[in-house]
Amino acid sequence: MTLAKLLASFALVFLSVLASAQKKIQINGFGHIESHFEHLNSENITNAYFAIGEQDLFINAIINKRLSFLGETVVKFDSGTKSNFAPSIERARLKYEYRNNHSIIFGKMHSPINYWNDVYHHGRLFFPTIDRPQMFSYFLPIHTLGLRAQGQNLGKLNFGYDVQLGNGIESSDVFDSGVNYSFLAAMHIKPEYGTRIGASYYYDHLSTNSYGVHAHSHVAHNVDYKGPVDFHMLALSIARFEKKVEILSESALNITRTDTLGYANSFSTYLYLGYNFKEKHTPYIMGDFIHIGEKDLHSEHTSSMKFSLGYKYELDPLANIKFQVEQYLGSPWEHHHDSSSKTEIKIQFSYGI
Amino acid sequence: MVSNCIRYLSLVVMLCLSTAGVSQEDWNSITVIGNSTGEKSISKKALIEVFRGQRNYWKSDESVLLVLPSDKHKGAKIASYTLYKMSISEMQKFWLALVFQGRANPPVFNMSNEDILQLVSETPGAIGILINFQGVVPNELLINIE
Repeated sequence: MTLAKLLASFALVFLSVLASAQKKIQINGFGHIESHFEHLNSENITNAYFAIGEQDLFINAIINKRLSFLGETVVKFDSGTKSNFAPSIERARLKYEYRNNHSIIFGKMHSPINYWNDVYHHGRLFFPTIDRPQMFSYFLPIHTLGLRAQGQNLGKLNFGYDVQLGNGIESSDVFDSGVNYSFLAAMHIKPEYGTRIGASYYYDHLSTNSYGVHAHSHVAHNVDYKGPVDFHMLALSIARFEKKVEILSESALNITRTDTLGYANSFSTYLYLGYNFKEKHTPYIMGDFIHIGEKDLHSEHTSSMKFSLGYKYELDPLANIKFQVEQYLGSPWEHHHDSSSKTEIKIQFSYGI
Repeated sequence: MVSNCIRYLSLVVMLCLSTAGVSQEDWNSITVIGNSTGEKSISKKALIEVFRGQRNYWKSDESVLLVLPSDKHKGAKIASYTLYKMSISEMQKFWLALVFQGRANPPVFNMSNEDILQLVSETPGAIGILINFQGVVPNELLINIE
């Protein structure tokens, strides 16, 4: 076979694969850019700056009739690198649909612990407000690497369930010491289009109260305590996104138990109300409260309240701009000044391609 | 003062009711086609559920592939309002969000009735919507709306 024939055959195969791939693979990119103006009341300091947010590559591929792949890789801020940015695999999972609306999922995924974490992931384009609820920065286990059984849209109420076993809060994406799987059971109903009500329970045993890649943002992690912690979390979500009115309520109760101080309760609640007075215009208000209990040894004791007034304008289905005024109220906290009293004005431009 | 308040409230209520009543559904313009779905007829409610990604498999065990008019299709607005009660851009965002959640596979958007007909006729499990279609649809593909 001559070289020209070989190249022609290769090109033909490549083009047919490409044509087939166009029907089976969806690739999207998501990202956001922000502008901040903040005043730290307790220190009387004002900062104004621009910030590049997460840049997200999303792939959905149908491998065959029952098997599909979903991948999400994000380049995001990381103070440990020279450029202050590093890539991170946020989702990489295979889904096998063994029966109508019942699946087994294997890989790294977002824990379906509440509505926000199950629906929005890293796509700022879909966020109703600029930031995630505060609980994401304190005690919410965002990711899991493991195995999940999932069912959805079952019966008249569109019942859905997720039962998950995976690497816990202390693990990495390649290793976990001992036999310490985390466990999650979640359920939801969607009684009518646009409404979803859900609840979940999460359990993990932390041997040394450390954290790995699946935990929260660690801003309140108690670095001084190295003993074992039993970590329980109950979450409740109510979401209603209809033509005019948008409501999202997220609540979580985190119960930790240590041999030293026994049980400690921490909780957080987030409420968003938006009103689409025109198709592309959504003014909104948001309140967000978090309390970490005094006896909690997993996280440091704190209380913080945040109120926001915002406006979202949709330039396109793939681009929107949000303007938000925020007021943080809470006791000044020596390890993390972001939670102290401050006023902030933010503009976020988020996009998808 | 009180009567002014009542008048104002009445006006607001009337405005809300008139807005809520707006509907641009047009079932008469829609022809449903499917390939090896095992369905010869389908109710409007069931059809809407299928096109909102609530069903993954047909009774025939073929996986569901949705074929919808793209925004370049002349009838895209009819499809989006009738099946989703949304504008075209809202429908596109609905699908982008659902696929991003990992809870559904993406539909295929085609620019013309002819492209939709061809893809459905070539793909077992596919279901598509033709808008104001004047051509001939093979009987084995036709699904009646109940």
